[in-house]
Amino acid sequence: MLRFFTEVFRPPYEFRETIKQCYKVGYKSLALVSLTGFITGIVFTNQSRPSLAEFGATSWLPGLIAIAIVRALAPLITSLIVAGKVGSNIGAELGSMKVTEQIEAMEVSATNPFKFLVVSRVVATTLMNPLLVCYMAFVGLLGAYLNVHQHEDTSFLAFFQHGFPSISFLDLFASLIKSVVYGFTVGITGCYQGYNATKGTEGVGKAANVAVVVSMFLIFIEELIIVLIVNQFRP
Amino acid sequence: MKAGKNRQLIIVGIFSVLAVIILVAGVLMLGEQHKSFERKFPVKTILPDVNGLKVGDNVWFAGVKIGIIKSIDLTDDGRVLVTMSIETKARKHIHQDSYTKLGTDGLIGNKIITISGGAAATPLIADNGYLRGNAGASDMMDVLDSASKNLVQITKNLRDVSQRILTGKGTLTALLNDSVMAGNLQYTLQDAKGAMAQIHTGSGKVMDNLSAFSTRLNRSGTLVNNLLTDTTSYENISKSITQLKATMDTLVLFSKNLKKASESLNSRQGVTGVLLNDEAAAEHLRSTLNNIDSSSIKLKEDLEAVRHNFLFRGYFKKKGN
Repeated sequence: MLRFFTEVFRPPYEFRETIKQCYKVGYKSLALVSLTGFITGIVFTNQSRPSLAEFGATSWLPGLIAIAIVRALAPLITSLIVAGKVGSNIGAELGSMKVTEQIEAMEVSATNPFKFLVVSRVVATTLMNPLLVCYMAFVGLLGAYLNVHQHEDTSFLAFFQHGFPSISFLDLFASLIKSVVYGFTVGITGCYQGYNATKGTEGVGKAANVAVVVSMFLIFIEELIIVLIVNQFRP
Repeated sequence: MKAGKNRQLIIVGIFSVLAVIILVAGVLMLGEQHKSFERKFPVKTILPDVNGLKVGDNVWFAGVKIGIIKSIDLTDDGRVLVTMSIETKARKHIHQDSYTKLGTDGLIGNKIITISGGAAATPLIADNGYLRGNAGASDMMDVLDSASKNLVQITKNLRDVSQRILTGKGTLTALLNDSVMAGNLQYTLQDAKGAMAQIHTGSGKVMDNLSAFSTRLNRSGTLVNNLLTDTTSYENISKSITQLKATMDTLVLFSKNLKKASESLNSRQGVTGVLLNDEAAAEHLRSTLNNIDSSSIKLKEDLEAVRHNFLFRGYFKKKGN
């Protein structure tokens, strides 16, 4: 991790490779993340409605959903999807390069493999994860709105006017911080597992598997820590 | 290969820009909802008890959110200093004699501060100005508390009543336990039942009579039916009523004039009034008439004397011819 921070600011910058990784991490994950977000919004709204309906408080659905999606669901679910899709990909890709000695070959050809392979991927996951979280939150709220509109006949404007007062700038800021941290975690874990893969093809599978498991585990640990820190700033 | 790289760059660029647009739109909507981009000024108030009010809770004026609670501090004398951040555009509604009151946003909602009152003649509140805190604030929870206390009292009263019934005290218990009274009540109910049956029978007859009467009313050729259905007769009656009304108006005017004349007769101001009402004047008039009467007798005598006078004898002789 220390090496990453020293290499990331040191030229030359692997701009093309970073863009390529951004394309693979961000754009290629957009469909999966959007679909998951849309379904999450609908399901969460459906699951929450009976509890609120018992108190005749279904008008609180937009606020509840906005809080849930912006504060927790969007950063967490997006990062877990990215961990599953991208983390495993990075682990397997770098692992196979490691066991086939392609990384050593790059070193021999005077190319910095760490900068080219690791820095570009970690930067890509760190930058793209917050953008995916934005998409996920938007699509999730859209799904929730469609569900609320279907049952309560609420207008689009009324839904967002009831939803947004429940969330604060702190929630938005904390969500962005979370998504940056989770993106970095997914990237650095995948790269670490792949870059240090051993034992041939078996090691590649293990690297991909461990990258996903460790990333997800770390994401939950970080979620816990960040929530505790953010709650200190809540009035 | 280079075209592919450029395509990736464009897609990543569009992808990033769209995500940033969504983020910025979210921030703007959030700012609009929380009025974060409005210019604000601080206003303070001191309340004896804020009852769980928190930093960030809303400040309302006439039911409209105009700011938020900025800070809450305890003063040296144990009261609570609340600093509010109020939108500058709402300053024109808040005067120095306006006052704050603690309230609730809905039945179980957050605590809020409401600003009310303020005479138009009083200067507007300044930055960091103090508003009077209304200690007598009451909200929905107070009403509920009062209602629950009343409910407890009602339950207690019901318990006492039921206990008295069970222990055989009071009129209600006598009503429930006294067999004689129960028998009387039964007879009374039977009488009431009989009376109701008679009323029922009577009402049937009344209904029959009414039905026959209405049938007769509807029969054509009868006077009432003609009156109800003949439009010519209706117009004649209407005209007659109009004329009758005009006559009545004239009569009213005549009676007014008569009243005025009788009032003037009763008054001692006019000549007739004096003649009719003033006894002294009547006496004077009677005396005058007596004098005239005696004067006329004397004049007759004087004229008779003149007739026999030698100076006028020739004149009267000539006139007699």
